[in-house]
Amino acid sequence: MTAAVSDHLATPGDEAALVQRCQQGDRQAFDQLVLANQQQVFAVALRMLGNRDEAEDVAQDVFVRAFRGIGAFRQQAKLSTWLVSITMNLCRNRRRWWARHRRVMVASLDDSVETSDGELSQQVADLSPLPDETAVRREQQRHVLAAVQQLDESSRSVVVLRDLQGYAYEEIAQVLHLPVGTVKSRLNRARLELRALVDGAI
Amino acid sequence: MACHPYREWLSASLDQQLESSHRVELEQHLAGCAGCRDELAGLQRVVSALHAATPPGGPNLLPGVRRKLDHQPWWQKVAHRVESLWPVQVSLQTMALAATAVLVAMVVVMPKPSVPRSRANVPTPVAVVPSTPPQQRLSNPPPTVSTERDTDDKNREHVVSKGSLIAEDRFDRLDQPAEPARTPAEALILELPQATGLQERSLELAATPTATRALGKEELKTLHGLTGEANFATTDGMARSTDDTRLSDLTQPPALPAMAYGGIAQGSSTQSPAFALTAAKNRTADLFQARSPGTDRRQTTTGAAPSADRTAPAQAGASIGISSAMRSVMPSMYLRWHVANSAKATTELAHWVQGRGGELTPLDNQHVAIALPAADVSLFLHSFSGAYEIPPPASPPSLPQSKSAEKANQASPNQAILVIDLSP
Repeated sequence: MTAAVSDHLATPGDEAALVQRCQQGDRQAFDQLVLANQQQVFAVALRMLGNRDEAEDVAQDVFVRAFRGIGAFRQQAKLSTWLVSITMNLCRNRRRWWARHRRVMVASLDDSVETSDGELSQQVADLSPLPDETAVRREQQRHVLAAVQQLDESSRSVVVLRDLQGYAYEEIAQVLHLPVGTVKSRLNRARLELRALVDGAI
Repeated sequence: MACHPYREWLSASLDQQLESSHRVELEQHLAGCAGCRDELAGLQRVVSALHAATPPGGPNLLPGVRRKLDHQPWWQKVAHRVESLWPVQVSLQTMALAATAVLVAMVVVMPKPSVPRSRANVPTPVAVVPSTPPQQRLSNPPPTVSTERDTDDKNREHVVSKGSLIAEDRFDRLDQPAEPARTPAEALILELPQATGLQERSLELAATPTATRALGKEELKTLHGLTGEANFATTDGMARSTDDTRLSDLTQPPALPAMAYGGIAQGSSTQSPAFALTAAKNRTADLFQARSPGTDRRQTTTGAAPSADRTAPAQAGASIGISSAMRSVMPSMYLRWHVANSAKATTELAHWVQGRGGELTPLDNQHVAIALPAADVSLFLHSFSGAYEIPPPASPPSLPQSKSAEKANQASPNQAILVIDLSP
């Protein structure tokens, strides 16, 4: 499970100092902020959009927005919460843009799945004679991640944040600006849907 | 359905988020319901598979982010800068409507350490001298990425070496994403002034004033001629382009505004001195009196403010200065703007000012007074950018206490008065 904390910002004090430097126009501080959070932002974008190029584009836009809006960031929430919140908004906008222009954003299975050895798996069946446990697991992962793509946006949001990014319920509530109870019920519904989608494969 | 509440609890139970009484009930139900047991097991597998998914390796976003920050459409940059000057909570519309709000702003140019000037403690002057004729600029093709950056760097270098007006980072940073960007139509108002008077930067500090003629129809015609395009619709004094091709120009990154905003250009890191807007005392009285004897006073006044201003950058954003500015009472700004042709500049100013509902009053040979709605002052400073100098203690002629000066002196509560010294 992905940790929601970056390596560079070990303590809240560090983060506060970094934000303050950014607010004062320290360019290096902003670079640091990007480097510390880009992994998480990109991961959320990729899981939400299912397309690597789109995710990269959206992730960059997240930091552009953050740069412009950091003056108003009051540090009542964690920086990552704020950034992921922006990410979710931009993902939603991006999807709407595609829908409005009647195009289909191609969500490739390969884009959304990466295996533990870092390579992009292909859909070609494993040709080894004996079913490899890791291969089976990999296959299951592929299925479930593909199924996540099929969820509607509100369900996908909670699943990505909870089960792929490891956020706590309260954090999810902050990111999505929802009450915790709503997060719970959405998560329940989303997981049941997922279960139905992958039924048999897992 | 018999399993009704229990199906909804399954997910929460996986996360240990079920309250104890419900957990007990659920366990009892599961003991007797194979369907729910099955469902729970299925959910467990799905969630485990998700948890096992490895985080996707991502590309380094920093170069792309930098690139995007550097190459916004120019009108978006302006919009963001203007928005960034105001407190977050207040929209431009709100401020325009604030009848009793009055803005006092003083532009302070912070000296760079490298500036070899004896009066390092007072704002460093920056001069703008228009050089290339408007047509040339307008006909510049949209630049390639590198050209724009080079130009920006060059301009920034010029301006920064003697102290630039605005630190780009602060402004971009303060932008609020929620605020809608300006439409191209509005942005044209900003573009037009650039197309005429202000052009390439060079750094001569001119000394001798030239005569400024009062604005007249001749001036307007000259202005139209100079722009090379009959694009003004001046019937109501509002400068709006009637030419649709101008709009399309805006979608490309034109060289023209990029260079014009060289002083505010974004891009690679330069140590631009901080730009702070703070409240300033009323210097109207000082400004309209004889300047030779008043030089000491002005210098004191000027000198007093920068120390306050210098602390402002240390605070978070310019919003602090602006909030206090909004609460103070009088408007006044004295600026010196070096132009090659003050007549042209006056005309251009007049157009812009009248377009914003303000008034331009020539005071004498080389001075004009501008009354602007308070909300537009920062817009004004950005439209005519990078060129302001708090006048040095030279001895320019004193302003006549003429009727027009008095009229200019009396501002309505939500108006700002700017006096501009136009000299080459």
